[in-house]
Amino acid sequence: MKKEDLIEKLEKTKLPEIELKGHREWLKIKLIDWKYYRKEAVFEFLPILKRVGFFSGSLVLILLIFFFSTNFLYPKDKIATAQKIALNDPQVKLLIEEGKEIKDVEVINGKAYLLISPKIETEKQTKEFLPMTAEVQEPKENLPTLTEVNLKEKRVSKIEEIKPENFPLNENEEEKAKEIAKIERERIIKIESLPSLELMLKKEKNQIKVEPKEKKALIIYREGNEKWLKKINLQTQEIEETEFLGIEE
Amino acid sequence: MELERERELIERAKRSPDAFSEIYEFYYPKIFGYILKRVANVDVAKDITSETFLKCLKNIEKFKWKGISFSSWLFKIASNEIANFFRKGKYRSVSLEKIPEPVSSSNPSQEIIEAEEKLKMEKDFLILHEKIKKLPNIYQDVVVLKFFEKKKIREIAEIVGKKEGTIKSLLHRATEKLRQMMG
Repeated sequence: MKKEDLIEKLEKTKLPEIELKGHREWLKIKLIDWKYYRKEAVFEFLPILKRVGFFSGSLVLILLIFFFSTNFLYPKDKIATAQKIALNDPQVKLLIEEGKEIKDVEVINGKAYLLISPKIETEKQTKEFLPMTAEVQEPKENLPTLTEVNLKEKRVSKIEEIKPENFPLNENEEEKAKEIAKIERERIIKIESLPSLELMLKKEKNQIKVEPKEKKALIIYREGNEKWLKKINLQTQEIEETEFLGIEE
Repeated sequence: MELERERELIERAKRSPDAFSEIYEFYYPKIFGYILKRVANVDVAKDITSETFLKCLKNIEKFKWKGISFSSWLFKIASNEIANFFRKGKYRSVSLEKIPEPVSSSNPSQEIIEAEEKLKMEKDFLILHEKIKKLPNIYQDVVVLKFFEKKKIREIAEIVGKKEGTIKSLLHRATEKLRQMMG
């Protein structure tokens, strides 16, 4: 065989394109669990043990373990447990296989809440829910979910879809949107919320709340007999988009 | 991934699982793909990938942006683990066994069986791999990195820890040997 032929063969041979989604997800959780929630909390204190001598060091270590196991390690261990329980649930497995991932976890009153959202991998990918007025509604598999895990019973007790309707605009936000858009009240047909798909969990008064990292407003309004839409970013206070929707009949 | 973004993520990954997660998601397919092309065995590739990322996470605090990119550093860990596998003729992910019981989001053995079936269908690759694996390890490194991973000479030099000139002559010798084997 000539060298050029070999090089061509090496360059052009079809290579295996194999994915192990299950292993990928499992390894990620295992590594994160190991690095951030288990190992460091206890073992970071070993150098202190060496420095202060074994006997007094042991005493310090016991006290530290007690302190961390009650105040710090315990809830994080619960987070890891909750993730494991959830990932063994067939419905959650399905969500992960659809390309979603666990974004946030909170534990409260013996229950853990896992926010499972679609991965946002590229700049081009939409980072918002589809507007409620959109003709094509949000495909079901694209919606984020809130999964409740009962830690005592070691099972997933509830899976709820999170929809844009969950985050309506409050009065202040509506007013602010109108002000930025500079459209007279009488021309406005509808104002609706356009929350970001990037969500987070918040503990509030013994409850878990899901909140979007960013909220925008969509204003549908009249211009003569034409219907227009403006997308307002409430954080940056800018008009992001203006779109012609059609002629009113 | 942009260099600045990667730099920031690696710094944050020392403390933040979210940052590590982003790096991991980006590199997992690349590392697994590279290892699979080296060992042509899904189960072994899976174990070496696990060990590679564990070592990466164990040493991420020590990683400094000096003379070697993060990507090359990760491929270097993978190459060392592959070399261990070939040296011992077997591979068991020892360090990971110390970490509690695995839980998977899908049936792991089924996933491996399906992947092995898929791999068996890549006949041309497997025939080529049979020849490549008879080469000394360093030759295998450079051939796979150059032709399968499409790495630049500079990147290969970073990964295997040799000068660019040495990589060129290693590549020349490796392809010459391979050519003789192919008849």
